[in-house]
Amino acid sequence: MRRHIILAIITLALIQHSNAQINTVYSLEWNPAILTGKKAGEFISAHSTRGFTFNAYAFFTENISVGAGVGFNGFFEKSERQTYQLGDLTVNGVAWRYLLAIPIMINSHYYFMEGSKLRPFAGGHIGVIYTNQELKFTAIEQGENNWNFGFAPEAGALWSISDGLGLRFGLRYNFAFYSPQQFDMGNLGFLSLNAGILFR
Amino acid sequence: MYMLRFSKMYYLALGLSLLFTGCNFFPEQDIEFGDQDVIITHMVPGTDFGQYQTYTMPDIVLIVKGRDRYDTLDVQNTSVLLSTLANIMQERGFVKVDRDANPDLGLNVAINRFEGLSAVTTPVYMGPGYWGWWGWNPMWYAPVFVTSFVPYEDGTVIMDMVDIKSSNVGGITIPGQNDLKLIWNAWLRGLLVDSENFQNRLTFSVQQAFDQTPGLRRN
Repeated sequence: MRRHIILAIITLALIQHSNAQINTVYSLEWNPAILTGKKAGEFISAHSTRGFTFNAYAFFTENISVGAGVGFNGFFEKSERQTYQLGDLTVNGVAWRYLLAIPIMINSHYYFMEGSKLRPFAGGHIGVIYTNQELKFTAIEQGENNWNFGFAPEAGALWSISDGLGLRFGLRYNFAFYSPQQFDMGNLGFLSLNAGILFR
Repeated sequence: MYMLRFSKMYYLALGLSLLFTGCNFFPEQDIEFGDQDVIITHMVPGTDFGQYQTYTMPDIVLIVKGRDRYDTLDVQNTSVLLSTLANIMQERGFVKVDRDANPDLGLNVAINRFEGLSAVTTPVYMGPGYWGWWGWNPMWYAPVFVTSFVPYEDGTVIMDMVDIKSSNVGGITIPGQNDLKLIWNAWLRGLLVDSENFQNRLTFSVQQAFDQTPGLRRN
C-alpha cells in the first residue's frame, strides 16, 4: 500500500513537472506531393499541389514533442479518351481521376541542436488515412471511400524567427494499408514536401 | 512588440495563402468541347451473334421527352444516324430486311430527353413510348444498364438490339413480352449538350459503340 502511495506521489510530481514544461505550438503547412507505387502512378501520374496539414506539437522537453494533426492531399488528373470496363459496362470517354487523402494522426518528433535557431528534427505520425478515389466521366462515375491504418515518417527542420513564430520544413512519406474494391491499386504511399509556419 | 505582431500577421497571411493554394478540394473539371461525349455499351455475356443473319431497323428516330411525350428527329440527322448504323451492320455481316420479313434482330434507336431521371440499379426501365415504333406493345419498357448515377438533362442517344429470332439467348426480357430479349444496348451521352459538330460527334459515337463491342459481328 505504501509503495502505491509513493508511486502515486512520484507520478503526480512528474505530471506536475511536465505540465510546467509543456509548450504547445501549431503548424500550418503546404505540402505538394507525389504518389509512389506503380499502380498508383498508373491511376494518376500527376503530382499534387493541393495539400496542407495542420498539426499541434506539445513539447514535453526541449527535444521531444508529442501531438496530433490533420491534413489533406488531393491528386487529380484528366485523362485522354479511353475505353474502360466498369463491371458489365464498357465505357468510352474522357475521364477525370481523383484521389483524395486525409491523414488524421498523432505524432512525435525528436529535435536536435538544442538552443539553436535551426532545429533539425526526425519523427513520425501514426493514425488513419481517409481516402476517396474516383474515376469520373460526365455521365457515370466509379468511386469509393476508405479508412485505413497509416503512418508517416518525417524529417525536417524548424527555423525560429521570433518568440512564438517560426518556419517549418519537412519531407514526409505517408503510407496506408490500402486495398480498394473497385480499383486495382496496391498500398497507398505518397511523398510530400512540407513547408509552412509555426506559431504559438 | 508592434513589429512582432505585424510579423506574425504577415506570416499567418502567407501561410493562409499557401493553404488556399493547396486545398483546392474541387478542382475545375477542365471540360473541353466533346469531352462530355461518353459512350456506354452493354452486351449480354455469352451472346453469339453468329447465329443471327438479318435485322430490321425503323426509319425514324424517336425523341422521348416524357412518359407520354415524344417527337421524331429531323430528317437530315435521322438519315445520318440510320445510314451510319446500316453501314456498320453491313460491315459486320448482317443483312437488313423489312420488319415483316421475319428478322432475327431488331435494332432500335431513340433519343432520351428525360430530365432529372437518375438510375442506380440494373436494369432500369424507361418509357412507355420508347418501344412504340414496333407496334407490338406501347407499354414496353426499355431496360438500360447502369452502375452509377446517370443524369439525363443533356440528352442521350440510346441504341437497343433485341433478339427476335429466339427466346433462349439469355438476354433481358422486356416486361410484357417474354419472347423479346435485349442482348445489346448503347448509350451515347452528351451529344445534345451542344449542337456544334453534332453529326461528326454522332457518327463517331455510333462507330465507337460498335468498336468497343468486338463480339457484335456475324463474320
